[in-house]
Amino acid sequence: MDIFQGLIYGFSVSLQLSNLFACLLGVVLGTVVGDLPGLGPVAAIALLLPITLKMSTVASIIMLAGGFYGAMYGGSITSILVNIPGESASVVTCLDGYPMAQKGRAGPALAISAIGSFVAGTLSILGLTFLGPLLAKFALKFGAPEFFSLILFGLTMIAYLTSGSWIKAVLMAALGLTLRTVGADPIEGTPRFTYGFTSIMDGIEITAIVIGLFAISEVFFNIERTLQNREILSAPITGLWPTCRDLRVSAAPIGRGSLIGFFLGIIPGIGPVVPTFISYGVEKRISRHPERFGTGMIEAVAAPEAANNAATGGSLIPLFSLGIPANLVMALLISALMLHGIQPGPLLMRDHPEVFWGVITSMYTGNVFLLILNLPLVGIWVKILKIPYFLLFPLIILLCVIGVYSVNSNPMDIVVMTLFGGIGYFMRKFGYEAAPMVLALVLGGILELTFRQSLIFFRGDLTLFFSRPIAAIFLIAAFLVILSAFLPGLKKIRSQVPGE
Amino acid sequence: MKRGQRNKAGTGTLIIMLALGLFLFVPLCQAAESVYPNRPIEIVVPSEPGAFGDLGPRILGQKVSEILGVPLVISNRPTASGAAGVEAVTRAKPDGYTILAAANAPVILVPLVNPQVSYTFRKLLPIAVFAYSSNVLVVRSDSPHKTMNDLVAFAKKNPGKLTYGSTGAAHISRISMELLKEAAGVDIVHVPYQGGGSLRAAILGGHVDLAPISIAPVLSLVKAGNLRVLVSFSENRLDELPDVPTAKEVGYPNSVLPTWLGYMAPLGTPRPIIDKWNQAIQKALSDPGVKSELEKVALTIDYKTPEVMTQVMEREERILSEWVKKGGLTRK
Repeated sequence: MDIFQGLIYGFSVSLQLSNLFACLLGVVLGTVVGDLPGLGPVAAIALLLPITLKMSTVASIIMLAGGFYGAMYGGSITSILVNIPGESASVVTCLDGYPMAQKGRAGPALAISAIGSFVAGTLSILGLTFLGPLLAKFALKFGAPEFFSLILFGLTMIAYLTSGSWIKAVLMAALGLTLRTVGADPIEGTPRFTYGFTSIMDGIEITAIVIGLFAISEVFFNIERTLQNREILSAPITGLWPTCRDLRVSAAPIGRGSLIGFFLGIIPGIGPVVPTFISYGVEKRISRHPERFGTGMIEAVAAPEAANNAATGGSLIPLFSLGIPANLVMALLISALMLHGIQPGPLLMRDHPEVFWGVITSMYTGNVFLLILNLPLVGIWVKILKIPYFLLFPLIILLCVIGVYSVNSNPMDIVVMTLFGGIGYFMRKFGYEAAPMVLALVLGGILELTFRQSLIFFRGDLTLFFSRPIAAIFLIAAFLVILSAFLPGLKKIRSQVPGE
Repeated sequence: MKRGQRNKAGTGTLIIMLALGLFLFVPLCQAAESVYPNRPIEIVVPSEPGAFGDLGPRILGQKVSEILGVPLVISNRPTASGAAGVEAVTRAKPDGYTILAAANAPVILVPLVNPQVSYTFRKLLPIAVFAYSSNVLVVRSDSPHKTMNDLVAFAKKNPGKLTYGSTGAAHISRISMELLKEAAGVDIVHVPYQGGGSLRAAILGGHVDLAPISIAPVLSLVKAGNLRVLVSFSENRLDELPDVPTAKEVGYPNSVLPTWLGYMAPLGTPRPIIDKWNQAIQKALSDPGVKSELEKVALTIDYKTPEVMTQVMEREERILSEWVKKGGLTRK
């Protein structure tokens, strides 16, 4: 079956009424769940999984896939409106999305994130359709050393995550890496820094830290501001829709974000977080106004949102062609396929074309649903900002507690969230930004694991990293980022020295 | 007019109060009858939703719930390799309303390798084992090692040359491999991965030479000719791969460690409740629908009585604790 026959066959499956309904249900529930703090795509799929036991295979996979990209989109809504990243992948959206909302431009921010998600989703499905099997082989070339260098490159993006002092950003990243070493050691499973608590044996739950640093500290900060009778929104809400200028400056970033997200999404184990941070870094690097990033630049919302959603399409490639989950969400999709008696893997396309093509084509319709649903809703979402603070703040805290607890049913996570809410409040007071710490936390685990795996393969010889071409390219790129980001700063300091 | 409205409101309130009264009264009546079970039972699953230790109890649970006549509420407690879930059940009230969906990794292996975990399987009452899943040793299909003997011969001549990937340091499949290495007297380097997905990518991409791994997710790769199975770590040959010998057949009986799934209850749970559960499980397993559903996720039905279950756990604890004492996890 060639691609066009496949697509036509796929649409004949996905446009059946029951399958359309499954898609709509998945997308809606995904968006709602993704809205809640702490609940991201994994929670959405875990909630939908039991429902699918009674459904047909195609309908259930269509619904779960819908829940996945629906939740990815939903995460951005709370990031923009109230500075609560639904999960780690939406942290970057907070950086410029929330300042936009504070300036009264929540509408354009939400709209551009819906449009960016739609364009990126569609582009990545095109990529999945036409390049899928070819790219799956490329993804397998990524061994431990390649992973390590890519993750190290991702980590250098902290250079672009701060609008203030880069020394503070590096310090925060170092703190994040240190916190990540809590829990069982990835090679031998020896507990580290757990002080006898079973509840942190798997490490400190990152979602709890992220919600604490962003949402809880935001509430503390805003309570202080309302006590001083200061307005949280610095400007009245203007215009719900992006202007022509907004669309023009966002077009190229959406394209770049889609490419970055798609190609990084293919690699198993990368997940959606790294692409969002890298695409933010890239936009800031090539922007003519890098100093204005973090104050509400629309392209800084558009690009990471596009990367986030393009990674979804990318991550379906190793799933469908090799049965390898690119992330936790995909692992759940594999379970769902197996529950219906289907072995995901190289034979999927041959043995179950209705699943393969049906799901791919349902993603085209699902993305249209998302756009239709969300653009008219922008106005309603923005109204959330008009809820009086004495109602909004307790509500946010309640949702955060429920969300964080539901991740592992672990009460310790609520303590962690509260603790990091306090830490986050003081970090803000003293001008330390949370984003570099979150990036380091997310990447720290895989950075350590792949570094130590590489050392096992290389028998401790560090120079061998440069004997692998892909690894060498990323290492050199990381080095160049560090040079280009920190040299101007150094020059500036030197030029201020009198007599130079 | 006004009067009528007031009346209407009055009737409405009365209906709501009656409904509320009934709602509150009905459970009380049931409690008074004190026939087990009369309210939902919490099933603690010590793994993530969708993981294989979760799918088994979910499939069987649907039928068991029909037989017992009450809903089974699944609560996933995956923290600390499942230790959090097992610990919660050891501390739960032994009234039959908290039941553990047990598996050998969290119940037996985790307390042996993690000094912070204080329970053993003796802190729980066995109800039954209902299914097992086999782990197998795979190589890529272009690997020069066709049989287990080829592999052992090569590894003996080239100590430390071969690598094997695992799904984690303290996983049952990895321990099968370590016990095999010990019995064969060979040195194969261990490289742990994060879960089955990245391990499958590593073996397919040629980054490791061998992988001891659960059969379910690799079966399609074996059938498609990407991977070859050298040996299965199960008691009997697998139905899907009848030509593959078991570890016992090729001379490594200790490394036979299938991953089993069962149910356990807190110590002190009354015997009639255990018996009721046991009968419900047997009845559910005889349902042809349950059998085919379990087979879809590569689980083989394998009913074991509480007594046999205890023997199985004692054997596993003996083998694993000997291995842990000799250096176990930390040994290279």
